[in-house]
Amino acid sequence: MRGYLILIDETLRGKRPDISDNASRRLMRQGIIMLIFIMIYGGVMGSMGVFAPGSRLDREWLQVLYSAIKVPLFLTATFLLSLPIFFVLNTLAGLRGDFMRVIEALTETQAGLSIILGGLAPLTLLWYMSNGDYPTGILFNGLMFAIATIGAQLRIRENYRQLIERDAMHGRLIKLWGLLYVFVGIQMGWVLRPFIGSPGSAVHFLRGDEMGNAYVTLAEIIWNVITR
Amino acid sequence: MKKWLKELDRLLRGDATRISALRYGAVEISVGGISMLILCLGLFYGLCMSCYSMFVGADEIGLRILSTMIKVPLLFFLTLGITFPSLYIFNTLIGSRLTIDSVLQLLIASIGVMMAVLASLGPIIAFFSVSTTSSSFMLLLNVAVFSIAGVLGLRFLLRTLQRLSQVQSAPAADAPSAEGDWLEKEFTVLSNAGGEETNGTAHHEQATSATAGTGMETEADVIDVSVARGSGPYRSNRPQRKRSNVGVSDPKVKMIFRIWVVVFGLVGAQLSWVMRPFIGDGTQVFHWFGPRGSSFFEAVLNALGKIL
Repeated sequence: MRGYLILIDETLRGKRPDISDNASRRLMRQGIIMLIFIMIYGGVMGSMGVFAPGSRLDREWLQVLYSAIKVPLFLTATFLLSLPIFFVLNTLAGLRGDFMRVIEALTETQAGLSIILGGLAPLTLLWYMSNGDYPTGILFNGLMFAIATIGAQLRIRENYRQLIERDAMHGRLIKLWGLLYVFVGIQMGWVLRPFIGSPGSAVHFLRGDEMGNAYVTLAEIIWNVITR
Repeated sequence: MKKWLKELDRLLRGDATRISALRYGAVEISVGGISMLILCLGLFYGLCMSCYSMFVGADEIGLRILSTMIKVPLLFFLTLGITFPSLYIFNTLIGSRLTIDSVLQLLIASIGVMMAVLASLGPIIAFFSVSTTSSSFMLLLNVAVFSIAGVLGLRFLLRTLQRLSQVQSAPAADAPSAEGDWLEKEFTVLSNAGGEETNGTAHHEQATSATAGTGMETEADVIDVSVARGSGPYRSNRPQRKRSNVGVSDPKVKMIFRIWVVVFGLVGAQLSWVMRPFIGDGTQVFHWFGPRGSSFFEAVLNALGKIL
């Protein structure tokens, strides 16, 4: 347990592992930490209905479970889908030799994001307990994700500093990674919604019948606003 | 297959296009092997692309998948087939030292890079195909992805051409010592034929200074043709042309390749229109090719208009 706590501390501080550390054990522990923290936040995210007056707990707990599965799925699937082209771009830029270090930096950043989100979960829980409004709940979660992303950005800047010092191209590629991750992530979030679940409405794992495309919907909304 | 994958990896890493690797005046790759990989990667991307028709509820799903899978690699090979003859002819007309083999190796290598980028974007395309019902969005996304792959592949081509020009500026310095005798022998034979002095060493010096100079037609340039023929694993066994006088560094050669890059893009775009549908609309009956008329650019603008 103490080992896990030390690793959480090291991840947040951006401390590089010692040579004596067992790399595979560290990676496995980091994966477990990521999963636990992100599942905690996911579960809390989907718990809005639990606190709604007159809610049926047997149904609302299902949303908690679904969100606890979907948030880690969202982060992992976005990461894995964006990885192949990032690998090819790194290779084309002549940075293949550093790619393992790049992966380490990215997973440490993901772990950092998860830990920050897990740390913010009690705040979200308090918000739900004090305010049952669905739209403000979405905004509050958006704010929590924004804070966690800013924290993760600080972490990635630290993790990438040595790489950028070695080759400035790393700096450009990590910006590209950010764009790619956001581009895929927006659609992934759209597909996997609902993460919060409107209190009182039916609970589904996915809104399969109205999957659609986030960008097309966004373009339609903007167009409607302009032409109104 | 593993050997070809290693070759593609060398291309992507830039190992195959380092100045030391280009000393024979060509990108030393197996054209057949990389072509097979282009085919496989194209089939994979076609499969990712056809996910749209799988999930949109279209008829004849099997045929739609097959059609898209075949069309993606075919698009690249046909674009190459259409643009390669004119490139080679103009390249030769201006007297470039690049042989038909080295031009083909360079182009296949570039398309290999394009296909690697395209295939690595395949999972993202498959994900969007599964979750999107708008064919206009998928059309625009695929155009963007093909453009990214095209730009990276063609950048690779121009960069490699630049390196080839550096190699041809100083071939003697980069050639390995084991090549020395062969070069000298070749040069002596050529010198005898031209009735010039027969001292190999003197000619070697002359060759070095001449090729590093203005690119005027001298016997030294013939040396470069010999160098371009190469002695690597994929060197050509065909008899070489003895009349070549313009190095890759010549602005005319670079201009020809730059024009070719633009032509390749335009031909590829229009050919993709001719070979449509790649994605298909779930509401329409399956057909291998669409009717004639309109153009690629008109279709892209229409798709943009539909989304808005």
